[in-house]
Amino acid sequence: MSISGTRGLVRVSKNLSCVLQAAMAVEGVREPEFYRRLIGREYPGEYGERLSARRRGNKFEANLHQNNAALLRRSVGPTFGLDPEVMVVRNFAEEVPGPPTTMRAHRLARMRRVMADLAAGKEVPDLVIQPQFALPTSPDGARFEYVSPDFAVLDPKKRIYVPGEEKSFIVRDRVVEPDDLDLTRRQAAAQILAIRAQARQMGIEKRVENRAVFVFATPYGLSPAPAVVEPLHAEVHELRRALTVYDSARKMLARLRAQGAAPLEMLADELPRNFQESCYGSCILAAECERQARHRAAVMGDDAAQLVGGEMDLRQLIRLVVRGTSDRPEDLELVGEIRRASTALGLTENELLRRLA
Amino acid sequence: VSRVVELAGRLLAYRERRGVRIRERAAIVPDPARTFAIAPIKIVSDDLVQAIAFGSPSATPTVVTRWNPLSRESSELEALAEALDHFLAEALASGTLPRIWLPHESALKLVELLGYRYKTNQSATPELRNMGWQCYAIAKEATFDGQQIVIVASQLLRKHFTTGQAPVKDGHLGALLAWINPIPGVDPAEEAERRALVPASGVLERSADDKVEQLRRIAKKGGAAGIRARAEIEQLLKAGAQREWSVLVAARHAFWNGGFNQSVQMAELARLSRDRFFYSLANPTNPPSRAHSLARDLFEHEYAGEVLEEAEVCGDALVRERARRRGRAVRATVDRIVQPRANRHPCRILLRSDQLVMRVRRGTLLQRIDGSVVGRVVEVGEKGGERTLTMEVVRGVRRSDLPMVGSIGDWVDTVTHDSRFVMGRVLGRMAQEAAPIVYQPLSARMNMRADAGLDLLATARGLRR
Repeated sequence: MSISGTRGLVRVSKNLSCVLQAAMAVEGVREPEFYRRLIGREYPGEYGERLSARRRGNKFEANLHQNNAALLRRSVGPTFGLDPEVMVVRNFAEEVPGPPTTMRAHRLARMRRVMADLAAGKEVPDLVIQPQFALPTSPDGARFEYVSPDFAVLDPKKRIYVPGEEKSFIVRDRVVEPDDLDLTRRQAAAQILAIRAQARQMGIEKRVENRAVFVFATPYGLSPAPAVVEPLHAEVHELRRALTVYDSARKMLARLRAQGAAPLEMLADELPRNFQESCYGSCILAAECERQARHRAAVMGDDAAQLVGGEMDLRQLIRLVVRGTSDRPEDLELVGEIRRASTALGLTENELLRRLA
Repeated sequence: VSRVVELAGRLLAYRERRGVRIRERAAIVPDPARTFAIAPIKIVSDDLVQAIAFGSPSATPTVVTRWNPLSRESSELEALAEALDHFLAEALASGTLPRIWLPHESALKLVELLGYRYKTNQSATPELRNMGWQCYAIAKEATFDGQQIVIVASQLLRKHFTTGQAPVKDGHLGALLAWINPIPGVDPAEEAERRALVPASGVLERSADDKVEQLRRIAKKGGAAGIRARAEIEQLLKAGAQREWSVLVAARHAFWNGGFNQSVQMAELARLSRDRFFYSLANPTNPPSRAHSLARDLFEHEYAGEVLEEAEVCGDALVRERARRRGRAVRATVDRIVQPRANRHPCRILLRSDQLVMRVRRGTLLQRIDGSVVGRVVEVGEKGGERTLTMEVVRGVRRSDLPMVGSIGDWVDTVTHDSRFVMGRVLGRMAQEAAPIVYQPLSARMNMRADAGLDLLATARGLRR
């Protein structure tokens, strides 16, 4: 699985300081292959979506889209004041089927025509399934990533499409697990930026608001819960920052390759990394980066890294605490704090120092 | 735990290559003689149970499997329904705490979903519906601070130990246990890394999961090959459930061997938890959605939080030490006691302390950690470089309760205000008056506000004393 497109952008938005990850996204590397080339062996852990997970997601989407998207219409229509029975649907997955490499450009062209009609005040479909947008990833707009929401629904009041995501996460008492939502929200933020970029070309970008619509599953099988519209200002802001990181990663790679083209794995040591807790569960290199930082404060988590600096050598820190001397007054303050914390661990200061020594 | 204390604990664990205790006393009362445990295996991202191990954590578990969990067939769960009902009925009859152990948060979510799926499902048998309500009550109880019924092993261990790895890695129960129960001669960090390659979140190992997925297609076709495939699926699921069960048992064992003393304050939490849970079982209700039930729910949560805070700060010296670092516990010397008539109100206690961080103001309620004396601070001052506090004693004016002049002790601001009786009356009056602004549907209220010209600010001001 490659980390290009929305997936890459979302990953970069979660760790803006990791240039290596941004470079991986810019180059659209396939992670297990890149891992093998970089580390010299196969990735030992689990990677990629499981068959069973994919099946559930596909079933949920198929269920929503069958019978002219009857269930999806019923879920999103009332949210936007649309009558589900008369909503006009265009399903690009049926109109332009095929592998991503060939169908994306076709779908994009169709979606551009729909947006042009919208700008011209003509009739447009209320619901577009599998629409396609292009998100510029360089300031000159020459480079872009394809972005495809699960659907886009027309807000008849604002006369603009709102991106929508279908997820088989289960809603209980109108609540979804926050961890599940974070990635989905960031995904939707990339879609908002892509729609805005498209709308800009048509002169209707002011209509695009930082909001998206989500359709989740109920606990009862694959039926959808009522759609939820969420404002996504923070996520859109972070995705915008991710785009600037993309650009600087591209420039850095160009600089490093000025002397000769070298594959990314050969340049990896030149690219700054930023190991943090969220790398686990998102980046295939997490354990490797942790191994590189194994005696640094970063391995003790984000709080520890914020407190003493992720690059702080833990052995050095322990020596400072035990000796209690340093040329830097800020170190002394921290050392004093750590020593005093001994009581909250049930130890006297001397006991703590003895055990640390 | 403050960030510095957390860092100090993790540094120590890193140095000693083993988990470090961060509490003096157990946050839970001892397991009753009969305890129940549940270790489920779900379909990834589907939260549907495909295998479940259950029973006493001290015995071999019963394992049920569902070769096709996406089907409408759920008779396999009847065995769990029966065992859980039997366990809860016994606890109810004997009045003992019905303790239920789960390995991790993911298992709790699965139990909660069993509740949602079956409690009102008309296609399910009455036994499964009953199980649905019981699972729902378990999940609901788990949301209360300090509850003593539902023990999520990974949460419990994280509350009592810290490790030399990042908190995110502590989320994996196997990796956490690598630090708490280190294998002699093996570096816990490496062992944790190795264990983390296999998920500990109630799912099958990747290879087994993919295999089951393939076998399901064959099993669905039936015939001899289908029967063989089903048997193979069941074996894989059983192995998965038993692996989860083993981790749960190891976690429980690690906790009870952690050497934590018991705190007397926890008994009150256990009583509250048991009463609340039995009430939920006897009065199954859907999640609160109206003002009245939401108000009651909010109050119960708030009260549970207060009771827990008091129990922890008063009962555990390490927790109290952290409260002291935040200025919410004060070590002070009794300077003087002013009590015109012995054993009678009024009674004032004058304290002095050299503690730097102190968040005590006029009006703050302070109590001794044994709860014998409670006083309201009426004056905060300074004398000779020390802070002075004058307290009007509101409870504990008898000579046997009062501290000795010159004695040094801890005073804490975690004083639970038991307003259950008053709240009961308030809620009763609310229901009786049934003010339309509270009890009407939202649409009706919107119209009413416009029509009646109701000024909520003026109403609020009028209610102030």
